[in-house]
Amino acid sequence: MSPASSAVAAGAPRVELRGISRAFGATVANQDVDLSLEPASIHALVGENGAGKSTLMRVLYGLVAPDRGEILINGRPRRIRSPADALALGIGMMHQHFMLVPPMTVLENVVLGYPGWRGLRRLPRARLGAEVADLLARYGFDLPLAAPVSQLGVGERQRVEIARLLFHGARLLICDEPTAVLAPPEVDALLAVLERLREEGRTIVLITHKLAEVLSAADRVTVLRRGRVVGGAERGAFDREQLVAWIMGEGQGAAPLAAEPEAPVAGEVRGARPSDAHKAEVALRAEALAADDRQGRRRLQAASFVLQRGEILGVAGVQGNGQRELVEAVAGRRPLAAGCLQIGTRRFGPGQPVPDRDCPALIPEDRLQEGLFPRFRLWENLLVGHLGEPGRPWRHFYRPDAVRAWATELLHRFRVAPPEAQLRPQALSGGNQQKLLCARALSRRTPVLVAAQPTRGIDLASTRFLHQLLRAHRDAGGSVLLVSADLDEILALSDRVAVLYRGRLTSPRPRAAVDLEHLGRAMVGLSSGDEVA
Amino acid sequence: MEGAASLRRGLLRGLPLFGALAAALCVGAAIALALGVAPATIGRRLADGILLSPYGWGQVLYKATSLTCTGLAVAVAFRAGLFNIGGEGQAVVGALACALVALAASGLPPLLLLPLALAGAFAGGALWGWIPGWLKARWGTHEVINTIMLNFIALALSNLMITRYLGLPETVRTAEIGAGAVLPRLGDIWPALRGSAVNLGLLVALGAAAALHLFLEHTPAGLRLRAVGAGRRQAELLGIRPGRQIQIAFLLGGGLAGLVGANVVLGYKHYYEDGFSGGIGFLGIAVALLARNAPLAVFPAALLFGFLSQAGFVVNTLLPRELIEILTGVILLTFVAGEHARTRWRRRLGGRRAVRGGGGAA
Repeated sequence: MSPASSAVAAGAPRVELRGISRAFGATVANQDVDLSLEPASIHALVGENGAGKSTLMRVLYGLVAPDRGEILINGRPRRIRSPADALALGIGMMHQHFMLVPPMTVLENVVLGYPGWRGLRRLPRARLGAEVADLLARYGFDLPLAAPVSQLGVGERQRVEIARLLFHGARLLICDEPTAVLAPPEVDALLAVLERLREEGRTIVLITHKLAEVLSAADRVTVLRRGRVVGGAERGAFDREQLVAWIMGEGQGAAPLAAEPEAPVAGEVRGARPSDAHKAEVALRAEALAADDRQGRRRLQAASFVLQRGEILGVAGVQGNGQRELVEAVAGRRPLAAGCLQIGTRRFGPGQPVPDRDCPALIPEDRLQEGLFPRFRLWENLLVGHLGEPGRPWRHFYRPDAVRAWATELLHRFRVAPPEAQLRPQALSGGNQQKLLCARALSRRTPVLVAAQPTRGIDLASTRFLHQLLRAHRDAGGSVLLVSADLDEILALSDRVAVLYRGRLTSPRPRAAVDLEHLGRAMVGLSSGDEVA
Repeated sequence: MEGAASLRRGLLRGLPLFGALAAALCVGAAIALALGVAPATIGRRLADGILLSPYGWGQVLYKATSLTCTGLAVAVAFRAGLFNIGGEGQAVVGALACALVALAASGLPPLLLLPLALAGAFAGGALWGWIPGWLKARWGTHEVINTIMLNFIALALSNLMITRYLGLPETVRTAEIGAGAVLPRLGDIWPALRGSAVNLGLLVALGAAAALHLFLEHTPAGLRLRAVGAGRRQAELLGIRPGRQIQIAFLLGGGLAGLVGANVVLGYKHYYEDGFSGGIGFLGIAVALLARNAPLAVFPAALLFGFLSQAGFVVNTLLPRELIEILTGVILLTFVAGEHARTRWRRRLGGRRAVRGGGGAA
């Protein structure tokens, strides 16, 4: 074996996908896609939801069989029929939803599937423990080996997932939107790890919607649109505008939306708006709100704020800091442990459930687990959010075709595609699912909207449209409590900004008085919230 | 194009059922041959005994009436995401309550007595169903365990009450209910059916199926109940209280199973007899499964199992009655396997849509 080839064997294989096509029924997910993945590089794969990124990577990982095309590993055609085949070739995939077993320990999760631990044999804990500890130390992962994964935060779980792939010998790592769940400093840490892996000679495929990450981390980018490769370039040979043009389709696509600036630059101050007339009218007031999780642990402490009519109050918060409890308590869907919630002129304390008609509309953070009913049709998904509303024709009885007509009109108005009320949510892309949720929430006749992570993991066009909807709601005199881990989103939309960290909410500051960096630090407790201003 | 697609979907929907029936026919014929009975003989027996005999159909309808009630009891719970394995116990308590109400209020005019006895059947079953529902809502205990246990309690309770307190001496049954509480037999109206047990309880069961259909598919209250079954967490965040819906589902399910009492006590025997249930609660699970938990499909599915049960009766001089249980098992297993294949196939069609929907914002 020549020195050169053994060097390649130690690093990642050179992977080439040639002419990959895959159709699901009449619709083409991938059409003649060529992609070559060089060893020791970070290769970003971008495109709208439904552009075919995931299908392509599932082909490479052996989860989907291509209709046509071939995969070459180090120049040799290979058939990858299952993830086991892929892993044997050194290809690993980190899914958006982690494939970890929560009650098992970090060590057990990392070594799960280890060939020497089969049947009734005992896990060689000491030996593997040392091996895994070594591995973790090499990448600077500070993880408690004996702790169950269920006790870890999202960022830590992700590191367990990475360690697992590395332990099993992955030299090419496919990362499906790894940063969607992370706070900005955690994103930086993850990108540093990915760069470290590249230096070792590994290949990273980074699927992402965040163009900033592509610009800062990727050695090469490939853009998919409607199943085809529409663009690609080496680092330095593309910029933000070029990427947007590829993703959206040059000159066409969501032209009216594309004209809007994607994220206003930090420090931009919003001018006067029609809604200023409503100012100082209180839509919702929280006084020292406290709420517990299901196990009775206090997750939200003494949160106080005023939400005025015609304003968007942004709350920057990462998962696990009480943001779920804040969202649900303010939406009237979680009993208060202490404090008082005033909605309009009505006040509610602990032990006083908020009647449905007073509850603010809610866009929960997890669209398929908390928002939409997967087995319901779209019209049922819409109707179920409007039961018991006074003045609706379905107080006691409804006719499905009448409701379908109403729902179809809503689907059109909120640009859900396809606007077919008989479909089920799985038939929609993530962006369209989110629009559906938004349609259900905004068509409620309530002035206050509580939106949690409304655009997480969805494509640019849908994100812009949803942002437009939130602004329109605000400008029409409505109020929005926007809880998001995406600081660009917080800064782009909010009139005032607060930070939620470890269950404590800072007092809201005007948008002009906060900037991205401090906000990011406050979100993970690196600076106290009051330094944000 | 659309028409062809919907035709294909329709065929696909029917496939598991027809597959299951075909499998049952084949297995039945094979067993008959192995036992040295010509399938043609059995066919002739079935034709004479059921298919061409109004009496046979009457018996099938009588059995299907009870199975419709217990099938609906399983279906409504399932639509709320719950397993009601307690149809047997609910039917027993419902029938007992029905008889007791009919006996106690025998002085009332029929126009009052009959609805009251029906209400008694519903209320008895509903009470028995509500217990596991409340336990689940309040303490989170598993409804499968509790409904099964309550079956045993109901059967033992019925035995105790009848032998010790309520029954006629030396029998395991109550006294006869008055003529005012009787649901007339269809044979009294249509002489061809004379002798068979089918009675106006059939209309009660069909009415219950229609009412449940309207409730589930056309009312906000029904949608709330289904919402809990389709996504408990989602429902909670919309202000629907799962605990409440669970109790409603079990109250309704128990009540529907209790209506068996109307068929058996008011329509057929005219008294309550201990041990009448004989597994109709459990067979209700099979009925609901075959009906895919759709109330309007429950009666046809009940007809099938009613037919099977009567068929076992008709051929029992030729073949062992266990054959019917084997065929029931074959039907269920083939149907479930067919359903599995169907959902996989549908998912493939669905996957196509997911891609088409993408990027549709433009």
